[in-house]
Amino acid sequence: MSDRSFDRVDEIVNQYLRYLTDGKTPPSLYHIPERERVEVNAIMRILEASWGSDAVEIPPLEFDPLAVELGLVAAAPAIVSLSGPAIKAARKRSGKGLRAVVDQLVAQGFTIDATWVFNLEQVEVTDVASSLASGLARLLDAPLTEIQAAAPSPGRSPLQSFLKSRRFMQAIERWAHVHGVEVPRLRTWAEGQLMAGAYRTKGMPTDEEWERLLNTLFETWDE
Amino acid sequence: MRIADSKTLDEEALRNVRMELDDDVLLESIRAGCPNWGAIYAKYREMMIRAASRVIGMGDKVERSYAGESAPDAAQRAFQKVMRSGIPADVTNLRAYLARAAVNESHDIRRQTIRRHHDAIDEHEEPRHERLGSRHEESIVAQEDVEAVIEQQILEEGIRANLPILTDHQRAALIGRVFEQRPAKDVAAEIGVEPQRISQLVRSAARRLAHELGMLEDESDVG
Repeated sequence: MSDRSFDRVDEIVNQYLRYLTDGKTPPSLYHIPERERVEVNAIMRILEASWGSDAVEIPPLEFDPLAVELGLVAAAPAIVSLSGPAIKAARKRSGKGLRAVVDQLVAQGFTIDATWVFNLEQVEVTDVASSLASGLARLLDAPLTEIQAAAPSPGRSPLQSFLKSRRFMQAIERWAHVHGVEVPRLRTWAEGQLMAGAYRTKGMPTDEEWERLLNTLFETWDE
Repeated sequence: MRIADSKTLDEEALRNVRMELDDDVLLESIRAGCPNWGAIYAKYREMMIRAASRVIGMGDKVERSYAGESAPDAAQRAFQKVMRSGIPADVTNLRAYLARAAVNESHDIRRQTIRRHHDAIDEHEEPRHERLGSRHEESIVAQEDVEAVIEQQILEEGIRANLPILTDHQRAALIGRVFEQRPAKDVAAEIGVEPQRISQLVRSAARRLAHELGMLEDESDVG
């Protein structure tokens, strides 16, 4: 093909892209030779099929209930470590104020307040229930992975290790036995309370500190 | 505080279901009466959303704002219907079958939303010229239109699959200018070429793809 022919085709491609952009006048193929017309038609079909295809938003699988139902999404672990700076960035991008986030999470049934959300954003890593993490991600219109903290180093996540410890289970069993409460019920309640209360504990609490908090929480147990 | 269910995560099983299986294997599962729905959805979900978006996004701005259902919802509904009705054993082109399901579902959604809007404005007796979807009667979709959308979607899939054959500049120009609909000068600045070079790169990329996809026979002048 000659340079002149390439120039002609390039001009038509240009016109066609303008047509796809503003929807006004498509290029005329009347004056071009048959051989070029075949090529131009093929190029235009390629361009039309591809036009704007990356503008289509493909939501992450985790936001797709059918994908979840079909088992395409890993079951979320009970506890998720969230990154404060990532949450703050996602919230700013979503244009939502702190108050709006609090109100909407409370409306979804989570027992949190403005102080908790504020602290959440200030702290590098916070462990929360996965349902709260997912709810927050949806609220901020961000994939959960975006607001999650990097994978914890072994032994770094104090709440997770405490909840899996023998010490926690013994405390639960002891209190359940003394007060005639079913162990699974008390355990579920205590896990939720500790996760909700995680923000109140600055720094990296030890197992002793978690147990002290747990004993304090037991006092609030109300059938 | 809600506590998420703590399910056992079987990573291996998840990898298996998300792995892209050949259509032959998927069709075999259909013929055997036990379709691997997870693997089918994992493979074709994105394609179905893109196909649906071609229909959902085809109306004018006002019409789109009333569409109510997004392309991902349309794709999900379409796949749920397919799961309920089953895939006939004589289907040989799974991609086209599912694209058709997504396109038909999207047309239904579009028709319903336009009708709903008409009913709503009839109640309020708005002037006719303010009505949404003045092409209401035209929205009864001709089969040729459905086929055209499916054909375009399948072509787009072929284009995406063949992007690796392009040079880096061709690929960047095609993706930036056409897939992402960005101005030529922005794309040119990004890849370090003159803006007028973009249409040449788009032309040569499209021509190469057209040849690869069997739409052009002679590749001698691919530039």
